[in-house]
Amino acid sequence: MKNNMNIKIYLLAAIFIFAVGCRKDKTNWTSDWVIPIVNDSLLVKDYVNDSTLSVNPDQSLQVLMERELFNIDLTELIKIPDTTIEQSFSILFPAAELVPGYTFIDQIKENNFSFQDVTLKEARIKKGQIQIQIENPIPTKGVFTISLPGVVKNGQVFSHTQTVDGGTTADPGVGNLILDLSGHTIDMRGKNGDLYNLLQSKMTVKSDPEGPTVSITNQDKFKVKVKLEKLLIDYAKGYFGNILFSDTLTVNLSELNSIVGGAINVDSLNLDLVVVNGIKARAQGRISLFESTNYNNTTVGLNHPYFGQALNLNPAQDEWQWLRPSELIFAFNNNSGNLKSFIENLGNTYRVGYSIEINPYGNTSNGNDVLYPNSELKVMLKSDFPMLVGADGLTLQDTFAIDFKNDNKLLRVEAGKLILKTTNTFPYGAEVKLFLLNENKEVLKEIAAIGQVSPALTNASLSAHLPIENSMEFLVDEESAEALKETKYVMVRAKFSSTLLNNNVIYSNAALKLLLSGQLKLKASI
Amino acid sequence: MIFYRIKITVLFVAIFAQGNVQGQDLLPVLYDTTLANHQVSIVGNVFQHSTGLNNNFSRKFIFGGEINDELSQKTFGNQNDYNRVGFAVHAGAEYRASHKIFDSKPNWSWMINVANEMHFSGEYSDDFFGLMFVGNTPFFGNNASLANVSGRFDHFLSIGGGIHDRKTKSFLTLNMILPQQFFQMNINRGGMTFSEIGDQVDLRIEGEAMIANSHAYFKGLGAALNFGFNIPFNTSDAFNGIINITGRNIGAYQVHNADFITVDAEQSFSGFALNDLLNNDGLSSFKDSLNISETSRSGFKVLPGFLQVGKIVTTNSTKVLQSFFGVRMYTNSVYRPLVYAGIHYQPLERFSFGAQGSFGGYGNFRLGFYANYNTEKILIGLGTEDLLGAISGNQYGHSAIIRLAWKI
Repeated sequence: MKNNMNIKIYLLAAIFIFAVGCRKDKTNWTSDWVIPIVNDSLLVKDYVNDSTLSVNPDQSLQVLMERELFNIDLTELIKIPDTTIEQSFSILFPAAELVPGYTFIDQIKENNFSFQDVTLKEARIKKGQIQIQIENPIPTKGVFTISLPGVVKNGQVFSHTQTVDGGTTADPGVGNLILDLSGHTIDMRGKNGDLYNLLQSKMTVKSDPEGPTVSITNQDKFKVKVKLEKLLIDYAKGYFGNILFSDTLTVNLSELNSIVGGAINVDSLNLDLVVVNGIKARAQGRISLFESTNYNNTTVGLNHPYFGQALNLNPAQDEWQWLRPSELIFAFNNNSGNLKSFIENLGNTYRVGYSIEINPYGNTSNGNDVLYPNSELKVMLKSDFPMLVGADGLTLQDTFAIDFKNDNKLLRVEAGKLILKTTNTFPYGAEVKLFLLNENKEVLKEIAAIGQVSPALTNASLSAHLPIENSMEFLVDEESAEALKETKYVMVRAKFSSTLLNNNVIYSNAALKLLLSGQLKLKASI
Repeated sequence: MIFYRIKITVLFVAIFAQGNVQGQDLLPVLYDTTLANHQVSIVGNVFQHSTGLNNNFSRKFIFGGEINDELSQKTFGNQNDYNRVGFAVHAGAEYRASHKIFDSKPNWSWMINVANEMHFSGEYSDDFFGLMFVGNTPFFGNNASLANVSGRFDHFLSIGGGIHDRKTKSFLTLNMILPQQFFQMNINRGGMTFSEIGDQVDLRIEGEAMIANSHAYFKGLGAALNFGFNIPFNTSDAFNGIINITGRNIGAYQVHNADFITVDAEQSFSGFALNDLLNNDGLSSFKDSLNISETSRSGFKVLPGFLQVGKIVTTNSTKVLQSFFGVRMYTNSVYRPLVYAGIHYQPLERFSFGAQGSFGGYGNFRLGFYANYNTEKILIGLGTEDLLGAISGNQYGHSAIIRLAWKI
C-alpha cells in the first residue's frame, strides 16, 4: 500500500518536473525582401529661373544670381519717440452761465516731439495707437471733440467726439479713448507750415445739450492727456540726422558644410558686391572685410582696391513706387584681385565688415531727406558668369540620423545589400562610401560600394550631356548587419571628379536620378 | 537536443493522455457506473492542428530550430487561399468529495477544480504566409492579399467549484477566470502590391489589434461554467448507452486597460525623397501616413469555450466492443464543428483501447488511438487524437492526452 502511494507521488512529481523543466529552443527563419529606400532626382532645371541659374542659347548654364547679404531694418532709422502731451483748457472770461448745448471752448495748441537732431516735416504712421484721457470738472456732462488738425487719412482730419460725465474740480469726470492711428500722415510743420517736429491738437467743449444750465469759472480746467506709444512709420520727410550703421556679419552657407576635401576649378567669373541706398539722403558706404573660411579653417580674404575706403552713395531718385535706389558697386572678375582663389576656397563661413553713414556731411538736402515704404539699405551679391566648374576629388560628406532598430529580437536584418541605381547627366562621376556610426558618431563599419557613378559625356552637338546609367552595390554582410544593432547614424561620403578640370561645362539637362533599394534577408526569431 | 526532444515528447504524452474519469472532454469519454468516493484527478491535453501547416514545419515551433528556405517554400506551396490553425494547452486538476450535501439528493456532493489554459486560433491567406516566411519576392508584379487575416491568443487560470452527482457523474461548477495574457488582431481589408522589380509598394490595410498590457499579474476578470451531463438512452437492446454533454469555459472575461491599436492606411511608397532624410522626418511622416492610433481600453471577450455532445462508452459494460461518436465545438469563429466516431475494445477487465476518426476543427481528417489501464484505485489513460501526426512529418497536427485519477 505504501509502495503504491510512493509510485503515485513519484509519477506526479515527474510530470511536474517535466512540465516546468521544458524550455523550447528558438524558432528561426529568414525571408527575402526587396524594398525601395530612396527615390529622388537632383535636377538642375529646378534652379533655373529662380534667380540662381539661367540657360544660355547653347544650353549651357549661366550663374545669374542675386543674393541679399544683409538688409538694414529702417524702422530704427526714424523713430517717433513715445510722447505724452498734457494740456488744460479753460474759458477766457472769469465766469459764465452755460445754457444746454453751448460751445464754450474751441482752442488749438501745438506740441513738440522731442527728436534729437532729426527735424521732421512729415511722417506716415505704419502702425500705432493714440490714447486720450479727458477730464471734465463741471457738474453736467460735457461733449468733447478732440481733433489733430495736421493728422490726415484719406483727406479726413483725425477727429473724435466723446461725451464725458460731469464731476468737480477735485473729482472730475473722466473719459478714456484708444484710437488707431495706422495710415495717418502727420504734418509736423505747425499752423503756418514753416516749422517742424510739431503736432497740433484742437479741443472743443460743449455743454450737455439735454442738461441744465450750469455755472463755470476760468478756474475750471478741462484737461486732456494724449499718449502716443510705439509708433512705427513707413514714410518720413525732413532731415534724418547723421546716422552710422556698422557691423561685421557672419554668413554661414550650410549647403557647403558637407565639403570635407578636394578642390574645384572655376572659370570666367564675374561677381559684383553692391551697396544699395533706397533713401533719398546722401550716404557713404565702406566695405572693410570680406573673407571666406572653409572646412579646413583656411581663410581667404577677398581683395579690392576700394575696400576700406568710404565711398559716396547718392540719394535715391524719384519717389514712392518709382523710387530708384543708388548703388555702389564693387566689381570682381578673373582679372581683378583674387576672386578665383576666394571662390575655390569653398568656404562655408563668410565674414563681411561694412559701414553705411547717412548724411555724412550734415543737412545738405535742406530738410528734404525722404524715406519711402519701399526704401532699403542693403548689400547684395550679384553674379553673371557661365557655370564652368571642374571637380578634382571634391569630397562631400553628410550624416543622417537613422535607427535601424536591428536589435529587435523578433525581426532583424541578417544580411543583404543596398543597390544604388543612378542615371547621371552631370559631367561629374562619384565614388561613394557608407559608414555606420554609433550614438557617439564613432565608425562601426565602413561599407564601400562596388561600382561607381560615371561622369556623363557630351553629345555630338555639344548641347547636352548623355545620360549614363550605373548600379552600385553596398554589401551588408553579417558583420555589417550585426553593426546595425548599434547604428544610430549613417554617414555618406561621395568623392566627385569631373572629366575636365578646366572649362567643364554644365548643360541644362544635368540631372542625377537616384534609386536606392535594399535586398535584405530578414531573420525572425520567436 | 535528443534528450530534450524525448523530454518534450514524454511531456506531451504525459499531459495529454486521458483516463476514464467523468468530466474529461477528449476522446474517448468513459463512463464509470460505480458510485464514486473521494477522487482526485489530473487531466491534460495539448493539440495543434491546421489545414496547411505540415508537421515538419509546425514542429519547428514546438521544438524550436531553423526553418530553412526549402521548408518555407514547400510549406508556402501547400497553402490554400484560406487556411486555419489552432493550438491549445489545457492542464487541470479537480477534487470530488463524497459527502452528502442535500438530504433530498443523497448522491450530490461538492467539488472544486482548477485549470491553466492556453488557446490560439488563427486564419490567414496563403499570401500572408508567403510574406511572413518567404518575403516579397514571389509577389513582384502582383498583389499579396492580407484580407481576412485574424488571430487570437488567450492564456488564463480558471478556479471554481460546484456540485456533482456521485452516481451519474454529472457535474456543474462556476469558475472565476483570471486572464494572464491576451492578444487579438484582425486585418479586415488589406493587400500589398509590388511593382515588377520591387521599387514601388502599394499598401492598403485596415485592421486592429488588442494586447493585454496591464501591469497587474492578472489582466482582467471573468466567469465561466464547466459542466457535464450524462443522459442514458435506450432505443433498443442492441443500441443503448449514455449521451454526454460537456462544456468547459463557457463564459467571458473583461480585459482591463489593454492597448488597442488601429491602422487604416492606403499608401503608395517608392522611397523617401532626399529632403525627407536630410530633415530627419522621413520615417515619422511615413508612420503618420499609416494612420496608426494607439489607445487604452477595456474589452469584453467571450472565452474560447469547449462544447462536446456525443455517445460515450461505459467502463463497466459487459460488451467487449462499444461505439462512440459525437460533435465538438470551440466558441470561436475559426474552429469548424468537429465530428468524430470510434470503436472501443475492452478485452480485459482492467485494460481497454480503441481508435477513432475525426474531421473538422482547425484542420481536416485525423485518426486517433488510445489505451486505458485501471486498478481499483488508479486510473491511467494515454492517447492521441492524431496518431499519424505523431509519427509523420507530412501530417497537419499533433495531439497527446493523459489522464490520471486516484480514487481515495
